Amino acid sequence: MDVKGSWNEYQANRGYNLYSRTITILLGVVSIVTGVICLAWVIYSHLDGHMDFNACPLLIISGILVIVYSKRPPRYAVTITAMTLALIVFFKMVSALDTRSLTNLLVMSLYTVAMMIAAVSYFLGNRHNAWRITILVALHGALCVANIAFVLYLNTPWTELWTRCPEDIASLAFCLVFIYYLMQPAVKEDSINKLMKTGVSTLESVAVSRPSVYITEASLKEMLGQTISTWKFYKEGPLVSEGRSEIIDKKQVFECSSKVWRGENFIRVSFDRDVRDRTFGNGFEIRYITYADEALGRFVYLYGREGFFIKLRVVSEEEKVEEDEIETESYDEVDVR
Amino acid sequence: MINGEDVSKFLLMLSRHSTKILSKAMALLMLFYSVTSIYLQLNYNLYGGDLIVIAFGATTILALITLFTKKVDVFRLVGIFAMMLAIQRFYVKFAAFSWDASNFVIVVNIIFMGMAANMGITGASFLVGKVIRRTSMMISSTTMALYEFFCLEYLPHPVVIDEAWIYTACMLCLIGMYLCIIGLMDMDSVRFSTKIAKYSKILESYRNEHQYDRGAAVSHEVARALVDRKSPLWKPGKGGPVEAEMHFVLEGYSTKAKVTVQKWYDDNRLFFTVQDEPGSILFAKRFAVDTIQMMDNKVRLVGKDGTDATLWVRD
Repeated sequence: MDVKGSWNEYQANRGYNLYSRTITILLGVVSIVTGVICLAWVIYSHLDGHMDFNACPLLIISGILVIVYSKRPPRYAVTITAMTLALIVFFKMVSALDTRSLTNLLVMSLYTVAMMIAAVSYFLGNRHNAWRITILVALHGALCVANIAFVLYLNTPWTELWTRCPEDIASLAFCLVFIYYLMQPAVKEDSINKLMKTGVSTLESVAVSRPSVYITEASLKEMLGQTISTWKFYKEGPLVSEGRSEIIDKKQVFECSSKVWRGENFIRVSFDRDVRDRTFGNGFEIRYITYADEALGRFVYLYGREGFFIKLRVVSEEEKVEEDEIETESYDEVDVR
Repeated sequence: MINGEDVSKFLLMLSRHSTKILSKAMALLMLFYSVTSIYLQLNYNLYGGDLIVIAFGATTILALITLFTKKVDVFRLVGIFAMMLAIQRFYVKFAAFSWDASNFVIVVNIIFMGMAANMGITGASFLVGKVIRRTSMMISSTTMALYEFFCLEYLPHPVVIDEAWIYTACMLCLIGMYLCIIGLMDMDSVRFSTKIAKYSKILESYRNEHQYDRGAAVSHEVARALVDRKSPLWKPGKGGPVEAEMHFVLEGYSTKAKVTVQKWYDDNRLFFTVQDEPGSILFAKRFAVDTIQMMDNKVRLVGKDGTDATLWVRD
């Protein structure tokens, strides 16, 4: 699959595909590399007996686990990595018991507990914790930046930065990749504004249609089975045949599926507005058809049962082109304003 | 030996009761902070005026009430605590002008008085049950906590105080209270109480019932149970017209719904009821499925009422 194809699939399904898996694997690789660098630094600095020495392999193990579980839902990678970060801070706290102030130790222990709670809660489905974990990881990253800035403040040349604080540079890279991962749509919780937007979009797709909705003559013929270029015929099963058509509502379309069921001699139509999410489907049956020329144009009336009917403006291909141009202009006007 | 499962259970318990724990922690810290502050003021005149003792007295009583009351209204609690904290911080920073009037300190104190005022106004709106400016309050609290942390870590303690540990404990309580305020502001009960959040929650429920995102999937077991119409997932009906019933969760990346499927006697259709959350059902998305097709890793539900839904089958 090409990159564009995988990106499109990602956009469509917001889930387990090449792109998201690549980012998950990247997170795992960065964890392993950071772990190796930190471990090498600890050994080089002769801190083998130090508690920090125990913290570094955790990153390597968590990186391997993240790669192994990269096909699983994102909560596995998030929980493993967040727990690892919490444990690393915990080890650092234990190793600094004699040297750090009480305030510092309290803040570190609070950080550990908060990160662990957020990780467990995220694993169990509360996606708001992605934001909490992001803030905690950002705090860790800010601390790395502060350390690097301090080393620079001591008149260390840029060229020597890598040899003076490799641990902080690697940890900062790890934090940035983890934050990027946490910001993925499939990982983070939708913001309240986004929930509002998608909610309104649902309401629109399920319950609202504009009076300007129209169907082209060619599409109407497909819907009614008068032309059968999109129709499929089945020898078995409850469906005899099925065809595709579309109703146009400004820049969106309603994808329609006309079906003839075995034992019935009329068409049933399902329709679903082509938006980000899918509905379970709405439909009507066509028992009787009439056409009427009215002031606003030519309309088709599709009658069902018990007073139900659908009224659609029918346009030719030429009229459709004009409609599209008018709509584009009106959209442009809105954009300009 | 530490058992991983027990630790997870403990963390989960903390997560579930986080609002209550934060409220009680806030009250406990407020109690300790108020009592030590009264002590420091009366003995060392730390805040530069005995008037502040009245405010600390009020918070002591409030903290005691919160600690010993079983049912606590989170909004009002947050509101009262935020207001009291704001009044105290405003007074402390205002009083600080009298003993250090350098330009830098004046600017810093004015900024912190502004933050305290913001916290007070937000707290007042919480008191009347209106959640506003949650984010600005969280930012103010974070800044104030970082400032206090910086003062405690890097600046020398006020020279007037002999018992330094009391001052340290007092400041730690203050930092703890700011952290509790930040935590309480981030709890679901507060987060979803702003006007726009309430509307979006209603819309989200509607969305969960009527739509599923393109990545929404069911387990292989559920898919097979739907296609075969027999599986341990199907339970006998609870009487009436229902022959059998099964439940599953339809989960996407941003939508999640509880689905009840019923088989009725003398009817070949499957009746689906989709609801946002488990519990009573009045309004819900209901549809009938006449046939279910299994295609590779997808399952398609088709009904004569217009139902046409395609769901992923996950590994």
